[in-house]
Amino acid sequence: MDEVAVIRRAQAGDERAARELFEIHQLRTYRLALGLLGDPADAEEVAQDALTYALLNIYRYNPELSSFSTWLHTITVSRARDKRRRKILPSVPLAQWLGVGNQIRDHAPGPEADALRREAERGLLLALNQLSPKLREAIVLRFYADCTYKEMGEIMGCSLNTARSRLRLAIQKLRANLGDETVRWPVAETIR
Amino acid sequence: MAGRGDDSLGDKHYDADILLAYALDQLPPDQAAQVGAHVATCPACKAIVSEAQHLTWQIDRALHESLDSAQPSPNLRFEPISHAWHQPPRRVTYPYRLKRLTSGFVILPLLVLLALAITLLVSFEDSFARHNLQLTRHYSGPPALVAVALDGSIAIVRLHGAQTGIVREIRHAGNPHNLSFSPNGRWLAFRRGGTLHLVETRAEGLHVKLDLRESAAWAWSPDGAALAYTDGRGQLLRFDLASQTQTLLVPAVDGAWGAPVWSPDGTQIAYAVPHGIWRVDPATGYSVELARNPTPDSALLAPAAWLDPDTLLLAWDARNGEQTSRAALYHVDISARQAVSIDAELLARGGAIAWPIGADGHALAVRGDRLVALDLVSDAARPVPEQLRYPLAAEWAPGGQWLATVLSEKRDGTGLILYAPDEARIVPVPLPEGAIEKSVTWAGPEHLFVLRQPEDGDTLELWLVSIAGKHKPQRILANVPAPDTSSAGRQWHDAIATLAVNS
Repeated sequence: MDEVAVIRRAQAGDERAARELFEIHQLRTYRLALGLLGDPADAEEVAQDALTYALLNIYRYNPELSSFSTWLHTITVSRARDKRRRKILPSVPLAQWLGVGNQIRDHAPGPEADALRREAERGLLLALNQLSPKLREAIVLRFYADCTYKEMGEIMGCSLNTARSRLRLAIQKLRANLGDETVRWPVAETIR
Repeated sequence: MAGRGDDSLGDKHYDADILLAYALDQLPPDQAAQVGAHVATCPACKAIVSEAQHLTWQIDRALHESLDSAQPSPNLRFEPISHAWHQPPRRVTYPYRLKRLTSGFVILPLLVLLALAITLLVSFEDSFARHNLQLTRHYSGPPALVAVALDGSIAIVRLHGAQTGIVREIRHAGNPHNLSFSPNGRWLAFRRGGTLHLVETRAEGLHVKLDLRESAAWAWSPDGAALAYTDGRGQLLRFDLASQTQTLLVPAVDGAWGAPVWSPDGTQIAYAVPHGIWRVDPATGYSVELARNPTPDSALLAPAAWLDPDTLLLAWDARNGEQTSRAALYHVDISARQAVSIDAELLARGGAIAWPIGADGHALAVRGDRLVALDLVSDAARPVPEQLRYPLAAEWAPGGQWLATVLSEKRDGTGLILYAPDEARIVPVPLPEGAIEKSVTWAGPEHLFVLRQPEDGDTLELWLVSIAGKHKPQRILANVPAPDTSSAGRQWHDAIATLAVNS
């Protein structure tokens, strides 16, 4: 599908095009918000808010300045910040959420390796929840949304160098929060 | 080596940011090759890169494992957007605005009191201006609408025999610009600052507001059902009045500017861009270039009037007009897509054409040193008698048989002159002494509305004149506050607008 054409139609007032864009982006927006906030209800509210704002103001979107995804991510991050300001979020919601029935997909060949990996991932997600909101944004935008440094800077409202420093700091803190966890990660999963 | 930091052996290494960027494949190719060559031979940097790759891969995987399977509830849906999609932009009532402004404030009661005090104060001023407005009780002319800017508000007056009266008052209108009725008389448009206001000409009708810039310009469709406008940001949009929705016809990147011009059948809109004139089909958004600026460095074409949808579009040189007050006139050959110069110039005033081109293709123009009446359909030109040299205002009657002109700044009632070019006939229309004629508009084929300024200079009067002599000139409105036309951009049409209607 030619997303640019769909965006142009939506900008011209075509409601069906707006619905198409909603269908394309709703899941990713929700998951990005969940990564930023950790709470499914809050993530849903932020996703609805961000998509509503983006589509009703789509005439403001300028394709020459950024991709539609980057623009939508910017709005989502901004709305997630607003949500966080309005509500003091629990410190470990994502890990809690993971522990209450939302199962991690099983790709590992054996139960022992799977158990080890899941333990490592849970430790990592717990460490993620201990990061400040800005450092968490850097991690989620880079590793979930696959943003480049430049896009991260645009979305977080900072320079490319600041985005790069935030990501490095976030990884350092994750490493410090994990302590010895890293050495217990399965050797077989080392990247080659 | 581009890097900093020393290890115990004194060798140079890249810093952590660079190595992380290298591990994440975020370096430009040249720099990545440099760093890669170093990492291949430096065990310390290689260890950092390996650890970074390992850790970031784990983070990446953990996030995707947890988030990729997450599903929102059915509450995340398009319907709330669909509901809002059809609402007009910024169509909000004052109570709603007040509610939005005051929500969340602890000092709500204080703000409400303040707003009430301001509202009462402004309302008092509006009422004062309206109270002083004098309106005839015995109107004998054709049915018409008049919009009058008072001090801070606008009154819409219906002129219709014994039923003459104010039908609607728009408060808090500030200093409005460019009052204009839709051709069907259902709507009044005006600009206040950066907002275009569209107001229904009936009591309790709709009031729509569109965000623009001050350089925005608009034109009603021939049937009055839509309005095309450039928003001052380079976009051309069409606003549909029945559905209250707007359609983007030309994106900002194209740089549409100035007032668009509709074709007589309403199927096309001509608009100016920095390098020439284009037309767009408002139904499909399909655009076609019509003509390029004939001299790119010195001319800036803008559409002036569209007389025949297939053959006759007129354009003027707006840059020339701004600079010299005389602007070159062009015939745009639609099939050949080029502008052909016409041997005559229009008079420009304040960035607009001073003497509007008549709907039938009649125009008052300057050729050499002489004023000529042009028939742009037949290419005929008639020299205008010296008596009519450079009128202050001129408007062609429907059919083009008569040209109504306002000539001088005298107070003796001799400023209104009618001219029939086909008969080379000049007919002075005497008016009572004591006021200066300022502008003139036709109210049907037999009547004129004449705007006059009495001796006090602070107010305006609207007069009705029957050119068939059926009745004496009649003063319809008096005590209309006069705009300060010495300030930039203020014109008589900022104070008053008229439109003859069927009933």
